Amino acid sequence: MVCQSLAVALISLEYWWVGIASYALSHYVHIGWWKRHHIRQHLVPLAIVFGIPILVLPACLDFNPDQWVAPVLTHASLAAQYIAIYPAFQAISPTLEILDWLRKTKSASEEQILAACRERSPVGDRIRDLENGGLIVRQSNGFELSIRGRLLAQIFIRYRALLGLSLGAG
Amino acid sequence: MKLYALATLFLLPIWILFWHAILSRFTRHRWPRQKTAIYASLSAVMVCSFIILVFERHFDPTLLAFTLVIALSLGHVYFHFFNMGETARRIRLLTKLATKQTWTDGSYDETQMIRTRLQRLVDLRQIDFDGFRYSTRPTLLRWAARNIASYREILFPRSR
Repeated sequence: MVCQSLAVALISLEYWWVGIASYALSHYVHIGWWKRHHIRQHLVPLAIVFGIPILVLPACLDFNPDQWVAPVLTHASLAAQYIAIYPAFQAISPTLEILDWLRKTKSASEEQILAACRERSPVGDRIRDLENGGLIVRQSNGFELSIRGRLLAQIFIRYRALLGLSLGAG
Repeated sequence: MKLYALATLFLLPIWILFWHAILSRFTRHRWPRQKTAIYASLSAVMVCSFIILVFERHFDPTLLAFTLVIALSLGHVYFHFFNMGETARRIRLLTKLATKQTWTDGSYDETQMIRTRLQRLVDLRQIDFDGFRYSTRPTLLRWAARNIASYREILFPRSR
């Protein structure tokens, strides 16, 4: 009976576009905040700027699920896809740097590309990111994974195994 | 929109995962991995969107727009999750540690990492290599790289 009721339950799409507007507003706030402050820890500020509308939208739409579900889901989907590509903005990607650098220079030898990439994005910066994010802990003889780092690594290891692929080359 | 149609839509990353797992076993020796991931994501987005419209049994521009926005966003999320596992140095460093390969600051081979990326770009036909020099091609990824660099200047104005 409950399953039957859920199966025919309807979600209104009347205000779904409000989710696009709320995402655009969050993005505007995000840009303004990042421009004014030097952000070191990215996860919490991102969660705040894109997460608050998810809590506020139901109140703006009279807490009527028929009205707020679609805009909240729209906002959440758009926010998720932005956060998925955010690392490409936050950290300099050697792949994108190669492409942009080749666009300016038209052509280059491997040695020239290696020299340019090492200068622009040393791997030490990525290690520092992992430390700042609490994913690795510096020890006397190197690094160790934190609990969060171990969990994240296992997610990717098992995911790659599910796809039948070896681990990414980085 | 019916609740079960909405649930089907939001389970799209799971559908893509299953489809990608099947497709990658057939294409892993023929196609670059990102190409397989892109095909898996896009085809699953199209099929899922079509199934949603069939579930609803009527065509409505609002329903189509909502379905496409959500489906494309979730497909995009899936692709970037895969790409992170494939290309991100931070993930590579974490998995090296997790698989008991210890490293210190200097032992991650940056030269090999850059060579891997160059080969990947050649395989994906994003750049050309004539045996001596690499050269650029007018591609969508090159356009994205330029815009990402410009956007980074806006977000992090002190980075240079």
